[in-house]
Amino acid sequence: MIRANLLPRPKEHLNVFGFRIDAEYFKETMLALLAVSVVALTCIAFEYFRAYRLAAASIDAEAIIASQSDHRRKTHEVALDLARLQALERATGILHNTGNDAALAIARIGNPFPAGTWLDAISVTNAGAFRLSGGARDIDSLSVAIRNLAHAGAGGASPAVDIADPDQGALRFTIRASGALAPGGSRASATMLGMAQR
Amino acid sequence: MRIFRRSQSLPLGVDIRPETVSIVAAVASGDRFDIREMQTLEVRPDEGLPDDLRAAHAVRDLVTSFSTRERRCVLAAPSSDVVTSVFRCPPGMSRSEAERAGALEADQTVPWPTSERLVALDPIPGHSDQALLSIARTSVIERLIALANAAGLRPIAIDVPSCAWRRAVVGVDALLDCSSDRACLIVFGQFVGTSSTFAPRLLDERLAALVRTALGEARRDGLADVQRLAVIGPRLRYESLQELLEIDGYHVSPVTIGSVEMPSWAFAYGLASWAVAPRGLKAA
Repeated sequence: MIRANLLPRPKEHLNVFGFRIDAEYFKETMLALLAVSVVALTCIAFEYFRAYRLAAASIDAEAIIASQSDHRRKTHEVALDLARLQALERATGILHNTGNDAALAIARIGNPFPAGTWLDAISVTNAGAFRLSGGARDIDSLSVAIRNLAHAGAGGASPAVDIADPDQGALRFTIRASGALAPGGSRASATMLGMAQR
Repeated sequence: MRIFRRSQSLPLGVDIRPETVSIVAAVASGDRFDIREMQTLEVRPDEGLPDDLRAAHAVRDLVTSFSTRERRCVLAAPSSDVVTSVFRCPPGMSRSEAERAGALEADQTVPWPTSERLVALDPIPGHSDQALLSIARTSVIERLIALANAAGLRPIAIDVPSCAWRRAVVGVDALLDCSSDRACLIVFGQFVGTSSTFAPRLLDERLAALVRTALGEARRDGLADVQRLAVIGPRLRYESLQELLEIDGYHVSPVTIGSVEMPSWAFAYGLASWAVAPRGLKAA
């Protein structure tokens, strides 16, 4: 059955969630919404599947990590032992080098003293100088020692000597020599001072 | 059998003529189309009022006498002020594009200026590639709307006479309406009919001759090969026209709605069925 309507008709609009949609384009609008929904759902499904796969992989990785915990603990202990040994090796090296320097310094200090003289103590001052105390049978031996010591010192600096005769027959002396006698100068003096302090 | 049947009130079918007004109130219940009230009232001759106002008063009196509270109505534009044709829509054409194309076609169909015409495109059921193109004078439509508003009605549609008659009268190829001074012949085509309005107060012989010519032209133009002709009008005129036209081989019958022959409200009935036309409901 056919019919007509000559009454002027306004454009029809549909209100969909607050949006006014021309009724003529309702089908197109719905198709566009459907397409967007399909794309969105596809993306959500893809992301969900990806997250599911990642969760499974994460669980597997955690299981592997858990299964290797003993090995990891042993490795950690070995690493700690290695670090300890390395620290010990470094300290040994330092002490070894320091011992060499000290022996050299003692030899350099002790060589100038001839027979008939002896050293009781060697100490290092804060300024890096050596304080030597000892004794001699006679003044000649002590003189030779002082001369030799002056020649051995860097730049020929004369040592300060304090002589005493407390035992009536053996001379006691105290000598303050420069730190140039030590191998490496002030470094050796500082090292010897460090040894004296230890 | 349904005990409870929900009835849907339909817009009133209002037929406004210079001498009479007819109103049909109908309801749709399920797949049925029921007439509840129908009446025709003569427009009182009152020389002090314009014709439209007198018709509005008659419509208001008639509506007031009805028990229905329905105030929506369907009117019809006069045949002489409406042109209809079938408009073919290319595939994929949107409604707004079809309306613009219809307006362009209207330029070639009628000589009325654009500002003085209304163009409507209505779908033809079962033919998505075709539409009914109706063109009417703007002033006529505005006058009808004003008349309905003055009568306290709210028009929701203004139909084309050929469509309303097609819904009211079934099983015929053409209809001759002699109920007014000016007789009108409507030839139903496949979708759209052509209407010919004749000069007023013609003698029966002259009218029959004009009808023969119009029917012959319709056959020549391929519109319809009319065999069955329905006539509505005064009984005496019907009998005279039947005698004159049946000589030419036409089967002439009176317009019958239900069991009522040539009711004065037949056209209003066709208008009342406007709302159920897409559903194709038939009168109970």
